[in-house]
Amino acid sequence: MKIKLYDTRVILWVPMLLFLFFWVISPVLAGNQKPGELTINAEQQYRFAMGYFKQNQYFKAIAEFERFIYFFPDNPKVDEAKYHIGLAYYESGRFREAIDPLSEVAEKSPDQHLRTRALFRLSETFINLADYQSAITLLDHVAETAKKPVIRDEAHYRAGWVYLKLEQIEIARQRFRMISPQNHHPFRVQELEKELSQEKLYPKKNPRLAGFLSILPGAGFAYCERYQDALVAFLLNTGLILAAYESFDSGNEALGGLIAFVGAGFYAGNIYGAVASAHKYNRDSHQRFLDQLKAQTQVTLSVVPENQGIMLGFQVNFF
Amino acid sequence: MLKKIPFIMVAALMILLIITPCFADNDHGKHQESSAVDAFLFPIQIFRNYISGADGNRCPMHPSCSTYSMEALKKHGPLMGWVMTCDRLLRCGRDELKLSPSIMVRGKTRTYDPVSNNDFWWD
Repeated sequence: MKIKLYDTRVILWVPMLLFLFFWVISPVLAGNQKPGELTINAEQQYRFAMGYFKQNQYFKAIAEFERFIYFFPDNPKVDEAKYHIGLAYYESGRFREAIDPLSEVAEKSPDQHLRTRALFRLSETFINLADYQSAITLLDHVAETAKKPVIRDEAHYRAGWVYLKLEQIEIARQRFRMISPQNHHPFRVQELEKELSQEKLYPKKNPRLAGFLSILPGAGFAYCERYQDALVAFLLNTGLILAAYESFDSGNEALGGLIAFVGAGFYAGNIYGAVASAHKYNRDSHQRFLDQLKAQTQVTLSVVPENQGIMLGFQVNFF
Repeated sequence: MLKKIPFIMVAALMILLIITPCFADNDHGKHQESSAVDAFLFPIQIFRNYISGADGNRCPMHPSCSTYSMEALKKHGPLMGWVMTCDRLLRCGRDELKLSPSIMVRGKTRTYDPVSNNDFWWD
């Protein structure tokens, strides 16, 4: 019996048979997935987390990277995920929370390159927490253990800047000189040497001299170029001293004692303020020197060979 | 005795003129301080709660001098806290306005001078 394609039975039954066939096999095609279920693999989850990170949505990125680590603990990218968790905390200013994930990567990751990146980032984290000694310790460790000269040089370079921040100019100069000759140009060592020699030209005040001069109320402030403060300190302390003297002289010990107590506080405050002013003057002067040094010796992307340095285009942006 | 009264009055007036503007509290009634008031903090609390409000927000610094005083007393104890308070009162609203950074507080520009800006060299 011949069946023609335009036969009614063909038109009715073929689509029904096709429908039944695909309805039966569709669970097989979908695997064990139940209707309405979504399956995400490790690669998708990692990309999802990285998407948030690149959009600077750091808290969401942290949550998704942690989800990635929880559901795919054996994935080779787990250390990268931990590193990015630390980086996300760092970029969002939560430096204390950044320490643990970065430390874990720095200590345990089998990837040497990733370990070094984590160490450098960890050193910057400590710098932002003003824990300069920990930063120097980490950088020294990198300088001693790194196999590539450019990484050792970067550690010396960074350590030099930390010593500059601590106003230890000579030690900073020594660290810059430890950079290997072939990398003097990328790290602009000659420009650094030249600018470091200018440091003595920046004015400084002697805090002890400021304190000594404050024996005469206001003189310490005047030495620190705070003339309004000096005038007020002189007038107030002189007035209080005279008032206390007059009170005691007139037999009014209670009032004299009260004025003397207040006067003693302002006299001590005058000395303390002058010493603090000298320190603040020196701090501001040193910061101007650092700003000038950064402007004159900035390391740029174009001179650091790609894939040879850890931080491409490293700039001193943590001071 | 009568001749010495003007000296005493002048000294007292100088104290009032110089320190009371600087004790102006910029945070009237908005501090949520602990109910356990230390003996050294008590006079400052009295001033903030009952006297400062009379003349309005006049301190050009942030934190205000009364807040600064309380923070210094809590951080460094009564002796250094008192010395730092007196130092702040000497400096408030003068050269510090030119030398320290500015900050916006409730829509107004103030000079930022926290306790940490004055004890960094020994703390």
